[in-house]
Amino acid sequence: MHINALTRFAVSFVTSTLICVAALGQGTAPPVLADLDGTIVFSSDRSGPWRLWLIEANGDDLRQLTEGEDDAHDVDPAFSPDGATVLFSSTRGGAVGVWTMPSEGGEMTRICDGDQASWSPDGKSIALRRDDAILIRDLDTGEERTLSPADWPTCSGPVWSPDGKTIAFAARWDAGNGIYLVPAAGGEPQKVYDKKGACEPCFTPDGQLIVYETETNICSVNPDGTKNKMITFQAGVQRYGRVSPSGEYIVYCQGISERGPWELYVVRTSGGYPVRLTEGGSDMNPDWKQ
Amino acid sequence: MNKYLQELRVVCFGLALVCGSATARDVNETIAETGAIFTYMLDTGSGNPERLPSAELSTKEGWQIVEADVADHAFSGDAVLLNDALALVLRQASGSAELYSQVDGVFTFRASIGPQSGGSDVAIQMQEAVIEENTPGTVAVRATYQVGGGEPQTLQYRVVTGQIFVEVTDTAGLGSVAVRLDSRYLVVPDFFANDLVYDATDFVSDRAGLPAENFVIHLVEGGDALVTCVWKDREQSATAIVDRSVPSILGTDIDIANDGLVWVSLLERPDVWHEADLSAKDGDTAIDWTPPFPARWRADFLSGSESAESWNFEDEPNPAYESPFHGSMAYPCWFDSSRAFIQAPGSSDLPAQKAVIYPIDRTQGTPLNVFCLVDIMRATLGFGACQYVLDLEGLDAQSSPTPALVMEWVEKQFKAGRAERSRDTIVERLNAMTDHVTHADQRIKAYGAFGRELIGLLGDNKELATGIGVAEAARKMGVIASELEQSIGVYEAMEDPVVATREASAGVVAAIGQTDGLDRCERIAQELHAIGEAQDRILSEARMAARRIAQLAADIKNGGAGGGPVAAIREQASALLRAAS
Repeated sequence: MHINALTRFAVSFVTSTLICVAALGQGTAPPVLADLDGTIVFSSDRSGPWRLWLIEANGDDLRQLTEGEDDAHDVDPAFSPDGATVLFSSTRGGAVGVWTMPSEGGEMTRICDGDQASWSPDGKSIALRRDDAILIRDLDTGEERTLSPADWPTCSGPVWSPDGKTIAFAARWDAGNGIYLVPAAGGEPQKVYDKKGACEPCFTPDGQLIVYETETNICSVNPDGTKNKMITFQAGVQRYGRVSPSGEYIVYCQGISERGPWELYVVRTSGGYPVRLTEGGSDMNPDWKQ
Repeated sequence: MNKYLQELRVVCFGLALVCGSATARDVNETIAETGAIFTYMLDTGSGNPERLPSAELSTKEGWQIVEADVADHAFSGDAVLLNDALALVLRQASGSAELYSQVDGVFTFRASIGPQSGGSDVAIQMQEAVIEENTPGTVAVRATYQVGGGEPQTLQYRVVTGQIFVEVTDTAGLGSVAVRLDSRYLVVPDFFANDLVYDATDFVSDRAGLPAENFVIHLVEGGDALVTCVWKDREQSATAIVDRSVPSILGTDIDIANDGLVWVSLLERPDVWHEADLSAKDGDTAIDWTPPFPARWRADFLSGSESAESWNFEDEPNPAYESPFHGSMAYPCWFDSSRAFIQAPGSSDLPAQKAVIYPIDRTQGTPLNVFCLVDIMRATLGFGACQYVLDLEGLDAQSSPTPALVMEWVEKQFKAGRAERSRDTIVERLNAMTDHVTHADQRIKAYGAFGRELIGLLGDNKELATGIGVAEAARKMGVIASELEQSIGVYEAMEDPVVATREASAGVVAAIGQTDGLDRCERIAQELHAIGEAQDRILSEARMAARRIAQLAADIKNGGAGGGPVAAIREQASALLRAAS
């Protein structure tokens, strides 16, 4: 055999071997859709106006949850802790408001003005955004209190920690976005991370990590601001990561550019290659229940 | 090293792996188990006097992984920074880091990145490599080089999980970064107007300043790799390094002083760029090239100078096209069932002899691990093309919305039946749009005045027309100024964009509440889109022209020629560019 041919053979063999070895590694392999449990709710314009949709995490049974007038848009869905109810923002009736409805469809109830609401772990309260401030509202009494300092600029995306003691939210300053933690009982917000447009925080179920988005990627950071790490690293734009109930996976939006259109993908929380969950239309704001 | 000895070495490495070399298996298995996408800091075990052959990077024979979070490792061999897209090798015996692409486990050397002190000194060798970061997300090494007889220079190289670029900083803030490679073309891209595409014969000296604000793309010989250099601050200068005796483009030097940041990205795919010869096509529009992946592909048509005519491929066969500037014309490039077709654009005064094709932006079908130019911009500078161009021209998309953005929103209000309810906001946004169009119009007119003044100056000044070391550059300036005047002349011949925008806005407001309101709004939106498109294109062209003129003036001045008039031209062009932001 000529030495060039031998070289090519050896390189080819080595390469093939390496590819096989690499393929065996599961740590960063794409999740297998068929293995995923639970249901994902998201907002989509695939039927025209923004509506809530459901899909099983394994990719089955895509179905539309909300209907309405053309000028009514439903976004930002979040499952209640028991999974029975969906909280969402809607333009129904004119002013943007926070609404609830049964998670498999049914009557909708308007809670209050505001948007971007999330549930407390006990399901008795919600955190929401109104007039660029973060509030907590008791669902039984309707009592509200503002958590974000009065002189802070645009605040958004409040979420509860799993132990119910802390709220994470984003604030936008002239220098850019940052993620902050504030005690749910009230107090001075503490900065977690404020580089690269960090916003849209979300806790893992064990409370050990905050998953968030930068201008381009989904990342995670410890609540004390250490161990910052990219979870997604693909081209295009990755936004709005939400952790699975098991904590193992993250569902997020992948877009061609900052303006979408968006598709839902799933990746391991430890990072790695993603798998596509939806296509067609623009799909945003996912949330995942068991 | 003798070629055959090198090949034999490759074979031995391959056979060593087949026979089960423990060390090789350890490194590659560890990487496979942890995840190939993450970043790794590797030590080759012994220093290599010559550049590593590709197979050695595949086998990693005798190498060791420096464990994550270990930062005090003393390298006994060469340092290697690795992720799933590239490897950067810092050899003790080399004055630059060597950048390899990695596709399916195959490594290919593509470029070297090292310090350049500003003169002709070449770095001799690395004195020290110190780990700065070592996590699964990021690895970084600070390398100190002895450069000629002068002060040592320090560069930090940083590789991040899953990204196709190396981030380079000069911690001492001394000089510039030298990127060396085998480049067929050098492209200065423009997202809305025409690119500049240089081959080695386009340069009049072996070191030529480039009119690039944040990017240059090297189309690497062979067609399988693109090396893009990105820098953070548009005040950083970039210089093409050329050997005109070959002729060949050897690379780019980028100023990195004052906390300057440089990213060198490497996209490797078969046929990732293509050069099409149009001179002998005789009406046959099919070309012998298939795009290696779906993307927004750009064709730069070349007709003898570096100023290309740039068109993006369309996905429908032979599409009809109505140009705001050229009227109805045959579209120059399109795909039909993934076959590529191309024809010289009829809008050119000179027929294009060839076209250069590369991926500028992604589409929905672009694989997630393929980074087009706009992806690289987004991943490095943090924003996309539209915001980039608007920011350059002081037209922030948030505070002064474009016709496209505003009308997209206004049309949605009409479609959703919300126009009457949103009347006040619609009026507010239309006013902001008119302000935006007015600002752009003023910028275009300022460029036009500069072009006309320059033509007058060049015509009146004999020294510029005949001076040694000046005449050729001055002639080029004259050509650029004439092209600028011509483009702006076409713009000025259009209906006054500011008046047209005001009238169109009034038309939109009048359509609110009317039964045919949506139709009227959509019709007006088309007119406003055309105004926005024309302004974007003219502004980009004018800005590129001013950059080229400023650069030519700088080149003349650096050569010690030209005197006061050239300094004045440079200052005027630079002031015009600065005034935008």
